[in-house]
Amino acid sequence: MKRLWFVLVFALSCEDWKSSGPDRLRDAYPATCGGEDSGAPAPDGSIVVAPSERVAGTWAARVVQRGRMAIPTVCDDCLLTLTDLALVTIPSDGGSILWRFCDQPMAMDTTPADPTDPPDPDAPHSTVPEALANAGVSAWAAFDTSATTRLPAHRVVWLWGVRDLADPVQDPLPESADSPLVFDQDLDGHPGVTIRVDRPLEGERYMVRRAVWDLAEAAVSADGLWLTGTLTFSVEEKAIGADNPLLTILAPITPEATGNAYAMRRVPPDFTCEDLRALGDTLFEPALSPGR
Amino acid sequence: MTPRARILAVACLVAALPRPSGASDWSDKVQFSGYLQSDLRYVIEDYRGPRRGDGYRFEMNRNDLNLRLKIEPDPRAQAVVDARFRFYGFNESSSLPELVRRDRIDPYDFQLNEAYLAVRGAPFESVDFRVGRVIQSWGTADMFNPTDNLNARDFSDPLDYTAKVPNQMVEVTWYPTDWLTLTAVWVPVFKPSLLPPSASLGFAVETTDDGCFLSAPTPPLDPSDIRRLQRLFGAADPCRLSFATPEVRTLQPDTTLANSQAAARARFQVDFGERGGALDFSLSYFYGRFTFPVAYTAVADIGADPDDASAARVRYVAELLYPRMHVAGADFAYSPPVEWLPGLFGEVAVVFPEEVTFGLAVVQNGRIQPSLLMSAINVPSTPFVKATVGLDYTVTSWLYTNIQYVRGFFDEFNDQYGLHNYLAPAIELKFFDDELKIRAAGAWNLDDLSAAVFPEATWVVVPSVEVTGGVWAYLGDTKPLDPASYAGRSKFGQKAAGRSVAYLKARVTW
Repeated sequence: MKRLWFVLVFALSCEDWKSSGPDRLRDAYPATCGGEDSGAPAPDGSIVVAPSERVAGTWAARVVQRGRMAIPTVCDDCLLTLTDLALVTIPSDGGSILWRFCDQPMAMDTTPADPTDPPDPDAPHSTVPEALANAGVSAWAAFDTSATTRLPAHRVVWLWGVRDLADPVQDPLPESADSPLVFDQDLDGHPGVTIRVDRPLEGERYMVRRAVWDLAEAAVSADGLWLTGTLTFSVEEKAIGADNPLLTILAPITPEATGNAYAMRRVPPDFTCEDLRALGDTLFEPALSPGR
Repeated sequence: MTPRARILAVACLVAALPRPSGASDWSDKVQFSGYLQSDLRYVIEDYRGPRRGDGYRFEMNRNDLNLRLKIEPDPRAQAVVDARFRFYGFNESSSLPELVRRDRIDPYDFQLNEAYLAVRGAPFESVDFRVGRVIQSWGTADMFNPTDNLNARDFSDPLDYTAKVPNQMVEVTWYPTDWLTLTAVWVPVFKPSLLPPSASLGFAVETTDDGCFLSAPTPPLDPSDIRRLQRLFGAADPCRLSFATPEVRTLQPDTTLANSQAAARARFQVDFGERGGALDFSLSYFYGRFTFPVAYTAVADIGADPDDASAARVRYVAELLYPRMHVAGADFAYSPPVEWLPGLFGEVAVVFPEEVTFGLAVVQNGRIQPSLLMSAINVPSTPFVKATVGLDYTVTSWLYTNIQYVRGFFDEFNDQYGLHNYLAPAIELKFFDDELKIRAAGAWNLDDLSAAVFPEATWVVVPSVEVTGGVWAYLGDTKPLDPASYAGRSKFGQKAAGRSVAYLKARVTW
């Protein structure tokens, strides 16, 4: 019993003996700012547009691609969801469909593959430069769209920071900024397209990229406002530079077999990328609703 | 006091020693002793230095002069001064202006080992006290004394691993009976242990011969976080990562009363007579700090390399602290009544530590990257035990053996490196009327199987003059056995343990 008291007295006297390294570091260094709020109220997504049973017109597109990748310091097998927002113009007199890239929100499920690993409190995040949207037509797809009510299955090849490929689908991407195929697409003075990376490390990565989408056929919805379907995709990226060497290694993206889909909503001809970015998923909520 | 002034002061002290004429009163009151020692060491390997290939060279060319003066101006009073001059024997000048400075060409230092006054029978008949710079030795084990925490360890010379850092203290001893001694000690200011020159290699970043990043020290984090860090830096071209020499800071406790240290001991000495032998038994308590620092924080600050725009510069800053602790101890030594039985001794310390949480942050542009702020409990508040038990046995007049089991080496706390188990055997043979002594000793880590071995031979040329030659060798893997674990380092194999050397010492004592 005396021994117990002895231990208890010591244990109690040690109770407030704690030195916390993390607290000391938090006091010494400010944390990186989180995502900044744009301050703009979220629109309700209601827009006025004349419906049509024909596929020709202007469309806001949302293309969801799910893949897996390994990211240093984050996870060995992250589930990545890329959501590309684009404006699509389908001419009424046939010819090429024009895709204009607007934004690419990214979500990552960092639930670790190893269940003993703790989940990462902050998913990695990158921002695609707005200037990319101002670089003009970024993808192409050519087929006859005249007088049809269906969007036929077709392939979209979308290149970032690289041009003049003889075969945009098959030719290897350049691996050096010195390649004549590389150009400063976002006009920021750096080769290729600059991706601003916020986490896990901050920095800028200069890269070239090729996304290939094989969209399944879709019919214009009964209300004349929607095109929805599935797709398969591949994404290939090369880092041709960075302001931090730790950002120059890119992990390949392995597409998931399911969950890849696109939705297009008919929008007015004067609808802009800015409108699309402001509305975001709100614009597509009807298509995302169960049962549609 | 400048080094020159220190030398003058001690020279005056020596000059004040008794002289033949008119010194009769003082000759009984003064004892002068000391030693002179020459120490030459040669590194016998080339793989334990900062870079492979550094070795096969002289490591030491040292001369020590130790002077100990004990003065008893009164039968009940004593003053002790123990000082050492050390001349290192290596030229440290590296520029023309330094060639005019003797302390660069022939560097030396002065060490005051002890300087205290002691009074017997005051203020009461059965009470003594000591005040000053003292080296204490508590415990009954042979060198591995977990209850001996009043003085920090002096590992500046790994071969002299029994050395301690002196400290100012006040000691009061009470002798209530013949068989019981009560001692209380107060140490106003904390002093840390001295580490060997190789200690910084424990935090070294290793690079290839062409300067490319190879490995960084493993922090005390969970394996998953260590893997995250390894992936972070492993993702980059190692030749484009410029790691500056890590900066390791130690957080010193404030010199406040709350940070002073105290200890108490009750020592029992029992003689069981001719048939029972003698038992020396102590109970002790210590409040203070562990004198070896433990990992507390680390920051990997990533920025642009000013010399190479395409490379990243990583600055690693670590902080260590000396955790507080209570130590409840007990020790015993038993001398059997017959020669054919070995002597037994044992010592146990229950340590109640301060909890230390380690934090590591990756910082960029002066800001923490939130997903790269990692932490782990480095020292839990759970009490833990350090202990030594052993026996010594004089087999014959020329053969002596000693073996100890040790849990928790001098520098081990219950941090993520953990407490290891050791076997420390020693054997000593004497020949030619003790003129030649051969001793082989070592410490073997039972957990990672690394070892330190030190065989030596001593020739007693004439009484008081010894010449010793030997080898001090570390055996074990210099690379971590598990790179993803803070505890993966081999105790004696890691480079931070030191260099393997052959040595030659000559010593005269008086």
